[in-house]
Amino acid sequence: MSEQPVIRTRELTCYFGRKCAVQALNLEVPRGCVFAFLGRNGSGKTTAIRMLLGMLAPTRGEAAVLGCDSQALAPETRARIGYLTEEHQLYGWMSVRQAADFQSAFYPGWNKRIFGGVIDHFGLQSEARVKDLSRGERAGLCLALTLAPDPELLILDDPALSLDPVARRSLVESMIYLTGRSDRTIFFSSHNLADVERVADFIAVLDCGVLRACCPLESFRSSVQEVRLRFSGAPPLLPKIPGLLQAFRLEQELRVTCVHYNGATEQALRSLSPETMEILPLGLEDAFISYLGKRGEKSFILADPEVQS
Amino acid sequence: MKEIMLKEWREQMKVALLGLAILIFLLTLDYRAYTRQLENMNAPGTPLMDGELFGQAAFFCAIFGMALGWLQIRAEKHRDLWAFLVHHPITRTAILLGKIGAGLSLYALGAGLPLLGFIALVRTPGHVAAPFEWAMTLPLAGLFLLGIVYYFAGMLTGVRQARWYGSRGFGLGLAFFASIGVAQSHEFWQVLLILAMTGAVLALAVWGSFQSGGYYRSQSMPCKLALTAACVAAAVIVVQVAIDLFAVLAPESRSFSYGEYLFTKNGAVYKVTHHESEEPEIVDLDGKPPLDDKTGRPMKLEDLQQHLAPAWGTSVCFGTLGERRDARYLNSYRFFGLWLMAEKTLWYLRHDGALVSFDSVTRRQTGTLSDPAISIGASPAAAGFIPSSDAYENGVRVPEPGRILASATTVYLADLHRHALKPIWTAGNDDSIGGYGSYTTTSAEQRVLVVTRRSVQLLDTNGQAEWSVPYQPSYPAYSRISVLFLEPANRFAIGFYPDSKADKKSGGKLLTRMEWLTAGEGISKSVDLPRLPRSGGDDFVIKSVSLLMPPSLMAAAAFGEVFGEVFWPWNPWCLIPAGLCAMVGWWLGRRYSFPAKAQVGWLAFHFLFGLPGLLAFLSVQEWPARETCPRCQKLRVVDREQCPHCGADFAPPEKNGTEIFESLRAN
Repeated sequence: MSEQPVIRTRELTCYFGRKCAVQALNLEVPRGCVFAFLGRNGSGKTTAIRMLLGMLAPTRGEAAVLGCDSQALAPETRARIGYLTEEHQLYGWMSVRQAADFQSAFYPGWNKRIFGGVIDHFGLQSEARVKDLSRGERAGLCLALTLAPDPELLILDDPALSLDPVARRSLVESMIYLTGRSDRTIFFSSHNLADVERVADFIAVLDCGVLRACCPLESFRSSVQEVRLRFSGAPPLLPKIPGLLQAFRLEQELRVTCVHYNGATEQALRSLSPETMEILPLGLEDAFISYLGKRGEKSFILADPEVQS
Repeated sequence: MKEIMLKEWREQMKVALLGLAILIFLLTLDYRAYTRQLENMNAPGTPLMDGELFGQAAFFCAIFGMALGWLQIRAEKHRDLWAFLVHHPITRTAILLGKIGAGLSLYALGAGLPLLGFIALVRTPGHVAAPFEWAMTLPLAGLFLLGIVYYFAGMLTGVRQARWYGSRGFGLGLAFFASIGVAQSHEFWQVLLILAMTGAVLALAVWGSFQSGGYYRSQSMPCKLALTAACVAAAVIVVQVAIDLFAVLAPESRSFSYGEYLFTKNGAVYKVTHHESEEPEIVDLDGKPPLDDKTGRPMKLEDLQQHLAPAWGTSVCFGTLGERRDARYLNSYRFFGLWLMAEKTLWYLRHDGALVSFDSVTRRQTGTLSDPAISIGASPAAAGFIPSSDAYENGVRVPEPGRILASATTVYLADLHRHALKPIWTAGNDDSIGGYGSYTTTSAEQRVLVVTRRSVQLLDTNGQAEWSVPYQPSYPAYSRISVLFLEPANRFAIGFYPDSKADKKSGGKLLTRMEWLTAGEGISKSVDLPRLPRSGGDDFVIKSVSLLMPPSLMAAAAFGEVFGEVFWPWNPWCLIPAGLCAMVGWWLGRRYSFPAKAQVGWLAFHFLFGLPGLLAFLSVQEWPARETCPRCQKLRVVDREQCPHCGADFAPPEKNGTEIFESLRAN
């Protein structure tokens, strides 16, 4: 395992006008892993990826990919990076075969077997025009074009966006196939946490442009916990609880989600004198939603007086 | 790069074919118009040098080139498609070169091929009844090349990130200036120079913008300069249009006046001063208005025009044949002049001094007419027939194109049926002919005005001088002679007009000399006419608004004649608005913490380019956000690693206590 991370950023920052899209992102992605880059819409994932690939100049800070400054990626370095954009845009007039011919001309190491395999997996006809393909089929073609050069680093920007479950499953299987080779690294952003759970080794979570979490997947899951507290009457007001993410107040129950659950947290919760207190298992999706949801105490959306009115 | 070119060809081929079809259609219309002119014997020249063709070709090449360049960028305007393109393992320069290679070849297909076909058609005998020379194709070549400048302008418009509404079109400004240059240039090398310079600046700006994804900040210095130059040109146009609009909206600012002299058949001279929205003011040289003989009231201009004397004249030049045909590269007179249309035959006087005839039906050359004594096509000044005068009339009678010809020493009467020449008058040994022209009087008698270095004379067709006067004031200060036919028939007036260049050189001190004479009696009166009021340009509002133009261009206009007619004249007060713009620029530079070097550079730039410079500055700069520095509490720009005021680093994002960070160890 090489010590050199495949992606390294230092204080990477990007502003659009007065809006800070990415703030002081410090990230290191080790070689040979599947790295999920998570966050809500508009959290800065795509902006960060575009900066990594030199498509966008950072306002300040720097990034290196495969050891090269991302603002001056040489063609040889680009050849080692596969990039799949979120909307799977291709030239509509091209047929699948023409797209392959076009792309293969740039990559001496073009692997026809991989391309053919992915195309077959998605059931694409070689003479079908790109503009006539469904969104899932186009995603499959894009994936095939990205995988066929056999890249060392694969950067996928929300590859499963708006794909149906079958197409999404095909895409994930392709990724799993690629991760079978330990020297390959996959860096992908996604909103589909089931996919992340299946393939990711590490995750990074962006919240409003700020990196809030960067850890192994399991660590994230274990760090976010939900505690159910039952009371004989209405739950009391919450005191200040360290690491509190969310609290749902029900009739005789209080559900508290917090991060880094430890003795101090437990003590603060016990001070509420609940009848029972139990820690509930939390899946990645629930953990993630709690982590990036609205902070503090809240009720269900339909109970919100503003919504009711 | 080959794959990029193939892709571009595939994507834009339909645009090229559409352009091809449109231009073929336009050229067909032009050729049909020429055919109709020829059939009607309506002064046809060559369709290659037709002004309408130039207009159509200029518009077509500009729009087609611009559209092609813009569409090539537009095709990948979607962020993800752009990313797909530029992520290929070749340099962006190679991608751009592939695009440009394909784009220019498609441009050549859509614009060049029809123009070449048109030239081939005109060149092939039997299609055009006029002389052909390869140099006649230069105007079309210039317009074709102008389209390439517009191609880069279209590309720049597509690729650069424009921040305010309308500033996206700033890429086109320099191409527009190139258009003016092509239209105004005298020689083709000047056209090539202008197109090479503007094309290089735009290509550099395109390259820089393509490299940086359209952003200004991350471009190299030469590319920034090129982009700024392109935007300054556009800003100059914007300011010019604003000034023109202002002039239109302020009617009082458009008041103008200009004067002219009119000559009546009785030999009187009247000064007519035209004013905006007012009756012209008419006075004689003593300042008295002319009175109507019948009513005794002051005459109106329409009445006076009934009494004007027929006037006719010639320009004078003693240079070589080329110098005598001092016309711009896109003027057909540079190559030939239509000398006579007789029955089905067209006679042209070529620039090499040959008189050639074409049959208007077969459209083929039928012969030449020359005196064995003169050497056609030779370089000495005496060789070949010299062009007759730009015969002009004064609203009374069109002079008949002559059967009179002249070399630098001899005047001939041409017998076109026998293809023979009869010498009727020869200049003295050390004298030569500088200008001539023939005129048919009201009694159908032909007269020939001949101007030599020493004298001006009016001849009949036998070469007998009706009168002769010294050429005084002389050439080259006075280079245009006119003759007025007065009543009774043996009275004349002769006008000696100053050469415009010589007049400018003398500071406007050369006055028009008028002489009155009676045939057989000599000069009876001689008057230097006072200078006429200059038209327009003296309005306070217009002058004030013109101060907004760039001082550098106004200075260029003052010291060089190339742009003299395009820009406003030099006015030192223009430095005041330029100084104000420099102050605004300096303030913005300080606000956004420009480095000292950039501040000084922009300061000089604003002094040189004034308001247009400031507009260009605002359109190219990307203004970073500013935040309060936690240490010094001053606003600082976010694109610096440290605070420019106190040197503090940016604080890391504030923690909220929910962070999860762990060391990453790959499996």
